[in-house]
Amino acid sequence: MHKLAAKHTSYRDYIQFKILVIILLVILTIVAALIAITAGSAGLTIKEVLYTLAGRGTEMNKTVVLGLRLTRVVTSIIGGIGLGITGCAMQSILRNPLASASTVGVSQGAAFGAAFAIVVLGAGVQYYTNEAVTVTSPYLVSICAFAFSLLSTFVVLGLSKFGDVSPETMILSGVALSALFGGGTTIMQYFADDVSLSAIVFWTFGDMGRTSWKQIIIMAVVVLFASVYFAFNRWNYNALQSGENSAKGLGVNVDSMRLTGMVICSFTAAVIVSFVGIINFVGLVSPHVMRRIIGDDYRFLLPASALMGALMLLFSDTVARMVVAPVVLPIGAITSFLGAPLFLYLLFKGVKNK
Amino acid sequence: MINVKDLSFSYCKTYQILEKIEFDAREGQCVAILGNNGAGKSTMIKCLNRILTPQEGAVSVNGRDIGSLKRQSIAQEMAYVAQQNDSSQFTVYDAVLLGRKPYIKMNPTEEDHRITRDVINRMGLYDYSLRYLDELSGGELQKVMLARALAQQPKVLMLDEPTSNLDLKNQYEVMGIIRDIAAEKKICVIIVIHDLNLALRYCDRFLFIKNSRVYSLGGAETVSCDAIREVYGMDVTIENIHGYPTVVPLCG
Repeated sequence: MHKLAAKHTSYRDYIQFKILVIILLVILTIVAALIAITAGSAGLTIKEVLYTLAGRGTEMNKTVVLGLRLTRVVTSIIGGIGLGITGCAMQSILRNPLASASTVGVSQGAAFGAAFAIVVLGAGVQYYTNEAVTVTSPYLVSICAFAFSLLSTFVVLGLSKFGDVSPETMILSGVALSALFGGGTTIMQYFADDVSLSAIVFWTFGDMGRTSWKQIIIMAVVVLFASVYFAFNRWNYNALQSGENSAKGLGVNVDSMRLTGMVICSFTAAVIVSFVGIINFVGLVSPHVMRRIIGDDYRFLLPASALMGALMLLFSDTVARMVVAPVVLPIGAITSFLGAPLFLYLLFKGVKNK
Repeated sequence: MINVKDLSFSYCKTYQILEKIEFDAREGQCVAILGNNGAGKSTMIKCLNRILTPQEGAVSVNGRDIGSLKRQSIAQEMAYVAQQNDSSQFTVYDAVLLGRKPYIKMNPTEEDHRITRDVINRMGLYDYSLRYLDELSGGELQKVMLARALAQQPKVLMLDEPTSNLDLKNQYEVMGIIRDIAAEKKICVIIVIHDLNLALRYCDRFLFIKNSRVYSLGGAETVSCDAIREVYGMDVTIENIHGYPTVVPLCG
């Protein structure tokens, strides 16, 4: 017993290490957010940003910080948390390391919805001098993107309910639906005029700067609700790591947990994607990065993946704005450039270790 | 302790896997479930704690009908160790602590940690309690899964071929631990097992399944040459070697 008590102290150290990693991620996210607000052509200093955030800045600084940059940064943080945590939960629920929002056709559904709104419903497109094109009815585009994301999800879940609620059925149905929506988007683009085509392409690039505070609040509420739900299910996700039958033996209602979890994951991802566009790799890579550092324990993996998602999106958005300023690069491309090599590195490092 | 009555199960209506299975077992007993491949042994133990839902029949533990309980309550009565367990980056300690899941509301209590530590000590897992499951050998992983099941503090412990991936030494060690724990904690153990000699050495009762039904149920005397010929279609002789009845195949 004495020996074990000593061991328990090391287990405590081990848990404290995980908590420390999460605290470090919180600090890094705050620092990255401050850097993101500071970076740009206005030449602000961190001190000026802090003053302005405290409500003591000049009018000019207030316009830049509160009017332009803060919405971008808050959108990146909330979107990143949402994509990171849903990716993490989906990888457990579907027992598949490749699971993310695009697995069940959410992203492709959203892209089709946006194209549909622009081409068929005439969401309206106009030119701006400093930006290429923008849509005049962003809400209509977001609503259509959201509706088709959810349609895709419900078809996938409906089909699996029809047969069996296995992860394989869900993933394969998602692949089929994604191909279907991909084809639909191509047809829309084929028949679109030049301006609409540009608008569709620009929408799918993803942009952290197109959200209003009202949209940010909607995103925040959905992400908060999802995070609370996932946190309540953290022991269920842990149990699922040993296999479906073992989880049932430990008292987990696997089928209902899988269905509810997938609905919440897809809903959250659909809300984010419909507001900010297609963001690749964040939901896929952030759980994998954190898995390497703190292991598969979902008590810690869920919050860590959420924070890593926020960090990745903040970093990508800042890079997208700064690399060839004043041109803002598509953030979807930056997350892919960042995520793909990282993913390959983790993949091959993992193989080598084994 | 456990009473199984008229248990029937089929994956589709045309192919009956289990038909009116009936047996009972008392606390402290080890029951070996025997039969050839595809006889429905694994399906049967999955039906006992409702991992699979039987079409007919009832299972009760100490008079409580399992079918009327929530999954979490079932997990407090019955623990199950699958034949194949996926390894992951979980420490051994956390994997055993997960056995307390049916009792944990939000976070594990000090009592949950105490039980986890006791089981880890009892199973001799102390030295690698901070190692990840994917760093363990098959035998070590099997012991961890057994420890997790014991942390559930079940009245009935169900094991699906617990020795199938183990070397000779680990097979006997794991079966010894199972038998000792059954006696010590007064748990009823139900084991699906292929190795008749291991079963004869460590189990008290033997249930043969043939053609979806119970062929025979009883003590060591039911494991006869005739029964083995009927169930497995193979001629054997049973000899007493060093005090243990040993099945010797008469072929090859």
